[in-house]
Amino acid sequence: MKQRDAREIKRFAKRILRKGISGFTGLRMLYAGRRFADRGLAVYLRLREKYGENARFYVNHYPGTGDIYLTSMFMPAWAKRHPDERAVVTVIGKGGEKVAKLFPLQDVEVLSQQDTKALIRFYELCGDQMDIHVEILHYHAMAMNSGILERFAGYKGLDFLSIYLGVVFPGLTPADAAKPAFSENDPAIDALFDRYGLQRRKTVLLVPYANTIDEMSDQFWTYLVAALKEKGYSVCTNVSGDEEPLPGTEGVFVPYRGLRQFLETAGVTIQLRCGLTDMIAGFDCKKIILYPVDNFFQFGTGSLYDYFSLKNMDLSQDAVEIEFSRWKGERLVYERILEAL
Amino acid sequence: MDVRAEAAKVLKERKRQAVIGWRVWRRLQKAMKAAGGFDRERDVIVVAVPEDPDGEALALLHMEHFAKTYGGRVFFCSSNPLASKLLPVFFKDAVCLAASAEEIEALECLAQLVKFCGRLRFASVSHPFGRIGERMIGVKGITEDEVFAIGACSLWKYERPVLPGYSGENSDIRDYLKKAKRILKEKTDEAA
Repeated sequence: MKQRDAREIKRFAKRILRKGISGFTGLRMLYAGRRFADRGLAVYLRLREKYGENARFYVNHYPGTGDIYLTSMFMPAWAKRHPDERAVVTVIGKGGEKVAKLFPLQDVEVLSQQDTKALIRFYELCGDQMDIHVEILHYHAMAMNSGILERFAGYKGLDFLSIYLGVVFPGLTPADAAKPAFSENDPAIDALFDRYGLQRRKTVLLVPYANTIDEMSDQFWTYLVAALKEKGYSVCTNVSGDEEPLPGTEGVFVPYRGLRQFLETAGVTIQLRCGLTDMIAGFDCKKIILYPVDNFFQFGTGSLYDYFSLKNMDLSQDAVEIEFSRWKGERLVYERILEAL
Repeated sequence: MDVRAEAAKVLKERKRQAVIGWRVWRRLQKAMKAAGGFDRERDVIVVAVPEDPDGEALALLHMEHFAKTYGGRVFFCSSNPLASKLLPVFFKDAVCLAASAEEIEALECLAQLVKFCGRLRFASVSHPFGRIGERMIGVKGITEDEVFAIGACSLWKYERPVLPGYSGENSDIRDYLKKAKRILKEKTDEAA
C-alpha cells in the first residue's frame, strides 16, 4: 500500500513538474520574443536617424553570397523605379558588403545577424499598424514567423531567379539586371598566379565548400586533384576565413572584385553549387558545377538542380552541370568532369 | 507624433496583444484537451483569419486533405458563428473551436512574435502581416489555391479540393456552399 502511494505521489509530482516547466518555457519564449522586438525597434530607429525620413531599408536576411548577389543585381533598377525614396540595402557581414558593392548601390549598411532578425521581427509585428520603411529581400525570410513560400522553390519549375523576380521584384525582368563591377587588369590578381606557381589558362580553381547543400566526400576531391594534376593542370582551392585548402592544392583567396580576372586567366573552375556560382555564371572560362541529388535541407519541392541550375535561370548556357549523390555514383561524376575538360 | 514615440506606442500595444494571444492559446489548449487531447506529432490546428473569409472557405474545402496529410485530427478555429454547422458538411471528423475575431487577432500577434506551435496554420495567403503569398499567384501559372494549400497550410502534395454535397434544409449552409463554389472556381483558375 505504502509503495503504491509513493508511486502515485511520484507520478503526481512529475506531472506538476512537467506542467510547470511547459508553462515557464512558454512564458520565457514570449518574454524573449518581446525583448527581440524591442531590439528591432532600436535598430530601425538607429537606421532611420542615420539615413533620414525618406530612407527605405531593403533587408537581406541571410549572409549567403548568392542571395545578396542576386538582390544587389536588381536593386539599382528597383531604386530607379522609386526615385522619391533613398534605397538603403542592409547586408549581414563584411563579405555581404563586398558583394553588394560590386553594384552601383547608393547606400549599403552592414548589420549583424541578430540585428537583422530583430529588425525583421519588429517589421512583421508592427508593419500593419504603422508605415515602417522596410522591405525584405527574400520570398521567405527565415526570421519571419509568418513566411509561407519556402516550399515553392522548384515547384512547377520555379527557379531561384524567377522566384526573386516574381515575388521580391515584381515587374522587373532579367534585362533589368545591373552589371557587376569586376576588376579587369588588377596587378594584385595577376600576381596570384606567380605567387602560387599557377599556369595561365591551365589552372583549375576548386570550390568544394557550400553553406546550404551537401558536400562531396574527401575521397572524391583527392582523386580529382590527382587526376587534374596528371592532365597537367595547376590546381588551387578557393579559401576564405578558416577554410582549409584541399590536400595537394594551393589555398588561394580571390577577392570578389577580382574573380572574373582570376578565372578568365585560370581557365577552369569546378564548383559545388554555392553563392559564388551565381557570380561566375557569365565568365569566359570553363565552368563545371556540381549539384547534389540528395535534398537533405528540404529545399522546396523539386531537386536542387531544378531550382539552382544556371541554365534554368538563364544565367549561363555553356556551364557543364552535373548532379551527384554522395552515396552512389561519385566515380561517374569524376569521369564526367574529366570528359568535360 | 514623432516616429520614435509612435513606433514605441505601437510596439507596446502589439506586445500587450501577444500576451492576450498567449492566454487565448492556453484556452484553446484546454478546449482541445477536453475534446480528446492534441497530438503534437499528428494533429493540426487550422485558424480561420477573420480578415480573409475566402481563406476560411478554402480551409474548409481542404479539411480532408489536412487529415490525410498530417495523419491525425484537424481542429478548426473560427470566429464565424456558422462554423460549427459548416464543419460536418465539409469533414465530419474535424473538431470546431470557437474564438472571437479579437482573440484570433491576438493569436496572430503571438504567432508573429514567437513560434510557439509547429502545427498551427493560419488560413490565408496574406495574413498575418508579412505573408506575401499573393505575389506568388500567377508566377509560372501558380494559382491562389496552390499558394494557400502548399504555402499557408503545408499540404505538400497539392490536390484540387472538391465541393461537398449537401442535402439538408439549412439555407445558410446552402448559401455558404454556393459562395465556396465560386471561391473554388476563382482561386483554382490559372488565369486569375
